[in-house]
Amino acid sequence: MKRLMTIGLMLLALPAAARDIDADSGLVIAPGFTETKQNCTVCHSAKLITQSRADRDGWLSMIRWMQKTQNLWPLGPNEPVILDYLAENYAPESIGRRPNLPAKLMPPE
Amino acid sequence: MKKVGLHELYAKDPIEADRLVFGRESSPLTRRGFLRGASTMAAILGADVVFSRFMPAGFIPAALADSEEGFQIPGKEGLVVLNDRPLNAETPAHLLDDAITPAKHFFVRNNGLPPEQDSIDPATWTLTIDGESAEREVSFTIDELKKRFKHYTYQLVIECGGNGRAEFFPPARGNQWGTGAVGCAEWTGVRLRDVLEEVGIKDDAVYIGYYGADSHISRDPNKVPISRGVPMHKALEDEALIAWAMNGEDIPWQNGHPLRLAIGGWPASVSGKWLNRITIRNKEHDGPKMTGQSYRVPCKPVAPGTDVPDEDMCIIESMPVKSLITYPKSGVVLEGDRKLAVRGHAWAGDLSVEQVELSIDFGASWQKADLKPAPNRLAWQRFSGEVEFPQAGYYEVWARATDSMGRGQPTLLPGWNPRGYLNNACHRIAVKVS
Repeated sequence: MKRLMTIGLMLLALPAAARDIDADSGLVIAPGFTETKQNCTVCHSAKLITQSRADRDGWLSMIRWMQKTQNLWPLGPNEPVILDYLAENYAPESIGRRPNLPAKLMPPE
Repeated sequence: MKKVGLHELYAKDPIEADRLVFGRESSPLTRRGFLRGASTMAAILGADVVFSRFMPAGFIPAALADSEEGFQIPGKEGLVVLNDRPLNAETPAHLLDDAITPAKHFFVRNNGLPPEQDSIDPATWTLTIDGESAEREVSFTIDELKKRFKHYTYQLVIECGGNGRAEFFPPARGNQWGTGAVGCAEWTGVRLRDVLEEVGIKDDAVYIGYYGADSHISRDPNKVPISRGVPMHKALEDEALIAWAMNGEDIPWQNGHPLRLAIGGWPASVSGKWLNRITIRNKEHDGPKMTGQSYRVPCKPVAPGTDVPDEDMCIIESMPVKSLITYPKSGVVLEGDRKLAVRGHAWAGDLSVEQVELSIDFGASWQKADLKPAPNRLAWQRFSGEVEFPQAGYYEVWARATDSMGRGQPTLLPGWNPRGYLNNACHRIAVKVS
C-alpha cells in the first residue's frame, strides 16, 4: 500500500517535473504539441510561448490579436486543440506581488 | 558550388527560395497559398500543411526554421536571449556596471526582422522627411546630415517600456523582460529639431512618426512591424537625436545601424531603428504599435486582471523613476567581512533623480547613497554606498530612487496593467554573509 501511494504521488508530480520537451523548440510534448508547433512557430520562435503564461481566454486573445494585426491565418479545427495545449501546459502560476529572487541570482548553497 | 544555409537563401529572396527548396509557387496576387509545391513541402515536413492556402509566400516552415543549432548575436556578449525570432535579449544587471553601456552589453529589442546586414550601405542610405505637417518632402543621405547640421553627443537612457514585465501577475503577454532591457550609451548625431526645422514644420504639427527598414515577422512586405513616435514638444527637445554612432563607433546592427532615433526617457520604442523616414503628422501618429494596447497603460488605475477596452488605454510618455544595482552581482558571498560596497545607476524618465537609498532589512530602514549628477539631461546617474551587515546570514540589498518631483520607487510591484509595462519596483540583490 505504501509503495502504491508513493507511485501515486510521483505520478501527480510528473506534469511539472518530468515533462518531455521537444529538443528543437523547447515546447512541452503533450496532446496538441504538433498543431501548436506547426502553426505558432512560423512567424516567431517557440520561446515566445515557453516564456509566457496565460489561461485559455488569455491565449485566445493573443491568437485573435495576431490574426487581426500580425497575419496569423485562421486555425480552424486546430484552434481548440492549440488552446487546450497552451492552457494546460502554459498556465499562469500565482507569484504574488513580489516573488523570491530566482535561483540564478541567489548565493550558492 | 557554395553551400548556402536555408535562412541565408530565404533572406536573399524568399519567393525564389520557395521555388528552389520546395518547388513552391504561390499566388502572385495574394502572395499566399500554393499553385505548386505543397506536396513537396509536405513530404519534407512529414506532414500536410493544414490551411496551406493561407500560408504566406517566402516562409521557412517552423519545423525547419527552428532547426538551426546554437545562437549567437554578432557583437554582443553575455546577453540573455528571451526570444530568437524576433530577436530579443536583455543584459544581466552586473553587466550594466559601466558608466556608459558598451555596445556589446546594450540590450536588443526587435518587433520585426532587421534588414540583412550586408544589404545596409551607409553611403546610399537616405532619410526622408515628409508628412501632412511638413512644408515639403526632403531626403538626406547620412553624409548630407553630417555635413549640413551641427553634431551633438549625449548619454541617453533607452529603456524598453516592458522592462520588468516578468514580475506582473496575472502575467502579461510579450517578452518576459527581467531588469535588463535598459542601457545608457553615448549617442552622436544631429538634432531631430534642426532637421525638421530645415524641412519646415507647419503650425498644425502634432506628432512625428518614424519608419525603419526592418520587415514584419510574417515577411509580408505590405506590413510595417512598428512605427511609433513622439509629440512635437518631445521631438524638438535638445537631446532628441538622429544618431549614426553609439559610443563613438557605428551603431551595432541589431541596435539600428546605420541610422536611428535616440530619444531618452521615454519607452525605447519611440527611438526607431534602421531609420529611413520621419513623417510630421497633424494628429497623434497612428502607425502600428501606437494604437490599441501597445505601449499603453490604463488611463485610470485598474485591479489586477482587469480587461481594459482600447479607448481606456493611454500612451506611455515619460518612464518612471528607477534604479539598478550593478555591483556586486546578485548572489555574492561575503567571507570574514561584514562591509559591502554597492553601486549602480538611477534614472527618472524626463526628470532627474534627487536621492537614492539602500536597505539591507527588506525596506524597514534606509540609508542614503552617494548620488552623482547626470553628465547631461536624460542620462543615468551613478550612485554608490557602503552597507554593513550586523551578523552572518542571508540579506537582500534593495535600492530605491526618488525623482525631482518627490516620487520614489515602490518596494512591491506598481499598478498592474494589461501589457505589463512600467515595472519600477526597487531592484534587489541577494547577499550571503558567512
